[in-house]
This record gives sequence, structure tokens and C-alpha cells, in this order.
Amino acid sequence: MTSFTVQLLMNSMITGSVYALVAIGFALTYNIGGFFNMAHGAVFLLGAYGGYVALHVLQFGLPLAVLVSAAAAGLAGIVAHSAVFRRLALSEAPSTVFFISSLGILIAVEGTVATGFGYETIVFMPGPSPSSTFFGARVTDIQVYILALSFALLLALVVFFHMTNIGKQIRAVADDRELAKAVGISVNGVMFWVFVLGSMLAGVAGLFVGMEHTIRPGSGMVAVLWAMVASIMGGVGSFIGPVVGAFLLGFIENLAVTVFPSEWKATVVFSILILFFFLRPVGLFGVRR
Amino acid sequence: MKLAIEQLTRRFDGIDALIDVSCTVKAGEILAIAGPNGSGKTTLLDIVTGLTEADRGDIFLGDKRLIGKRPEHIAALGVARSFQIARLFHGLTVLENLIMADATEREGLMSAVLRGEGVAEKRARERAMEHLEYLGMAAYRDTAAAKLSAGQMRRVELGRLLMQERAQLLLLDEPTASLDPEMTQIAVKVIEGLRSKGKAIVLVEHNLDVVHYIADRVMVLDQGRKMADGKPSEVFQDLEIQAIFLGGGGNSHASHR
Repeated sequence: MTSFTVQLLMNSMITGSVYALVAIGFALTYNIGGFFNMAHGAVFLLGAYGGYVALHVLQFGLPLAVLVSAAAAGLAGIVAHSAVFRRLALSEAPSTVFFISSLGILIAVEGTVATGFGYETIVFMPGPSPSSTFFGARVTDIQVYILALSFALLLALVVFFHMTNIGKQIRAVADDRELAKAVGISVNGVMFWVFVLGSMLAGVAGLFVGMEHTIRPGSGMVAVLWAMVASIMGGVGSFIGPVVGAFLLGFIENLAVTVFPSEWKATVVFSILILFFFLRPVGLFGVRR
Repeated sequence: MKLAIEQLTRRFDGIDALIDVSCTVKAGEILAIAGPNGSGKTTLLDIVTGLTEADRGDIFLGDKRLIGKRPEHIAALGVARSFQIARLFHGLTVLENLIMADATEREGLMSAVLRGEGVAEKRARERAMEHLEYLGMAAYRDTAAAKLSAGQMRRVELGRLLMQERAQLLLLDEPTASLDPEMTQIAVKVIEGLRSKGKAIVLVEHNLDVVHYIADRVMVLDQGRKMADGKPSEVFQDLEIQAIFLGGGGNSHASHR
């Protein structure tokens, strides 16, 4: 394997693991709530800026900044669920109302963040990061940290879904919402936990994107669009699908920038998404029901 | 606990699914509902469980009004059901499907998330295994429900009903469909056992032998209207009722959903 291939795979793993953290919550909300939750971009943004404040204003270390990002996003998820989505669910609003409300939340949070921090791009980690060489590929210490923590979180999530009662309830509701209601599972209660967990993961992903690249108020919309693409490619109806979709997206994106100018990255990604719509609309792991 | 259905009416796209249907089921009683395809049997179960709204009428379980309540609230009040086509959580294992039906397992989301594998789950797991062994499904405990045959799914669904110990009203939609004769006998025993525990049972059943054997009363529906309500031996003597089943292509094992 050439060092180019190793570098490509390594970069794809890092990008994919971060996308996976965002995609899981997005796909779960779709499975259980039946709508594309654009507000997932808002919690990503709050996690990112929360992490920035922790690192640069409060001068916290990285582990504490991760906790701040998760807490800020998790709290925002609780507020969004309690103040908006739970009420919409109780009034049995159609999915378009959920979608437009979530878009409203994203736009409102973007505006609020821009008021506080400005529209300019923020660099979390100025200057070069220490790095090491792995089979000819250059990997920074920050990237190793991101990769290790992302995989640890994904693994913890698998354990959570299979070992805890609420994890099994989430799987049950995602599987068959009507049956879940008929056996007495509270779909709103499950949705609460999906918002908390999904938002926390997205918040941590926000911090990671800030550390690895840059953040600006528009990053929330980009993150949620990428989560949508990953979920559709992998299959929204499955648990493994969005994770695999995220890694596939990471690979396509990193490959695209080696072949085409970087401005074409989104064009390549969305072209492949359209191909999926034609060839495999349920995604790699989706099941036609 | 007694179920009382009063003048239930429901129309779908201009077609009458149910018209002024009233009936009662006492604790420890089995009411079978029979009738041709499209006579409104499953619609009636869907309305009682809150999955479909009624246009008019009322439903009481004991002194609790069910109309207007959400399916999960109705389930919490003590209503359990099985489905016409056995319905399970396909991504969950057989054992997990049964444990999900145990109400004690869902008490307190915070304690649940902190607890993980706790005392209540251990107890639920033991009960679930007992039921699976009785139903001949113990070997499949860790098999994903999606991989089961229709008959196996039906057995797991029966196990789920047994797990719902707090349920006072059971709505069974063709519980012996897809079962072989031996398993049908076990299913009948399960239903009789539930009756002896004082549960009120509504049974939609295509196998009239089962209806004759197990039901205390039978209500016949035709095009959404109640045509008869009485002891099976008397109701099926009525020539007009016999004509309904013959008209629906029926005989003693007629398919009449």
C-alpha cells in the first residue's frame, strides 16, 4: 500500500468518524420522529462554539472542553425537544411542521451565534500541530485524539443500545413506532433520550471539526447536510447504516479533493448521493418496508 | 375488569367500517368476534387500542374512558393486543421482544438508563425464558425476530402477551393463524390460562372450531354492523348468520377477517 493510499484512508477514517457522530443522532431522530431534524446543525454549532469558549476563553484543557461541548449541545437538545418537538408530537403535527420548525431553530441559533462571535471563521488550533508518521502517512496528535475518542464514543453507543433498557427501547421505537406504543413504550420519553444523546455526540463532533478545520455560523447547516447525506447513503432505517455512510462520505470527500479542485467537493458528494437515489434509494443497509 | 363498547362508529373514505357497534366483555370472559373480510373486526381492535380514532361512540375499561387516549396510555391502563399478521420488533432478539413488553422494565427512565442490567431485568429475563420454553422458542432467544418464520413469530407474540401480566384486557387478532395443530392447542391453552386469571379477552379468530371450543360468547359483524351476540352454539344455528359466512366463502374454517 502506498503512503498516498494510507494517507487517504487515514484522512477518510478521521473525517468519517466525526461525520458518524453527527449522523447517528440525525438518523435516529428521523427513524423515531419521522422528520429531517435541521436543528441537529444548531446543537452541532453550540457544541463547537461551547468548546471554543472552553478552550480559549476559560482556558480549559481538551478533555474538559469535550465535556463542555457535549453539555452545551445536550442541554440545547433538551430545550429543543421540551419547548418545541415534544409539543408538536403531542399535537400530532405533520412532519413538514417538524421540519420547518427545526429549520427555524437552526436559523435562530446561527443568528444568535453570529451576534456573539461574528460571521468570521474561527480557528481553534492556530499553528501546526505536533505530528507523527504512520506507515508513511502524516497524522497529527489532534487527529489521533479525535479518532480515538470518536471510536470510543461509537463503541460506548453500541454497548448502550444493547445493554441498557433505554437503549433497547430506542431500538424498539425505531423499529416499529406503532407497536412500541401498543406495548406501552412512551415514544416521547424515548425521543427525549434520542435528543439528549444525539445532541451530545453532535456537540463533540462540532468541537472536533473546529479543532481539525475551522468553524463559522454557517457550519451548522453544512454539518446537518453532511449528516443527511451519510444517513441516506448508509440507510436511515438501520443503526449501522449512518455510521458506514459517514465513513463512505469521508472517503468520497477525501478522494474527491485529490482528483478535483476542493471547490468541487460538495458537487462530487451530491452527485454520488443522486446516484444512490437511482440505484439504491434505501441506502447500503436500509430495508424496504 | 369489564370492557364496555358503546355505539362505536367509524367510516373510511365513505365506507362504513363500523356502525353503532356495542358490546361488553366481563373479567374472565372470552368474546369472539367473527365475520367476513372487511366486516370491521380489526378496526374495532384498532379503535380500542387507540391506533385508530372513532368517529362516534365510547369505550370504557372498568371506570376508565379509553376514547381520546393515546395508545401508550391505553396500554398502561391494562390493554394488551396481538396483531392479525404477527408483529414483532424485527431488529430485536426474541428475548428482547418479550422483555420490552414487561411494564416494570420501563418504570423511571432515569433509573433505567443508570441501571443497565438490573434486578428488574433479571426477573423479567427469567419470566421471559419460562414463557419461551413453554412455547418451544427457548432455543431462539438470541435470534433476531426478523429471521423467524410466521408461526414462530406468532408464538413469540403469545409470549409477549404472557409477559404483560398487568394487562386486564387482551385483544387477540387471529392468534392461531400460521400455527400447526399442535401449536394451536398450546395457544388455546395459553388463552384459557389467561381467562382463568380473570382477564377479559376479545378474540378475532378465523378458526370456528377454536371459537366453538373456547369462546363464552360470539359477536358476528357484517359490513360494520353487529348481526348477532350470544353463545357460539346458538349464534351459529341461526340461518341468517350461516348465510353471512357462506356468502363470505365460509365453512367451518372460513377465512373471515
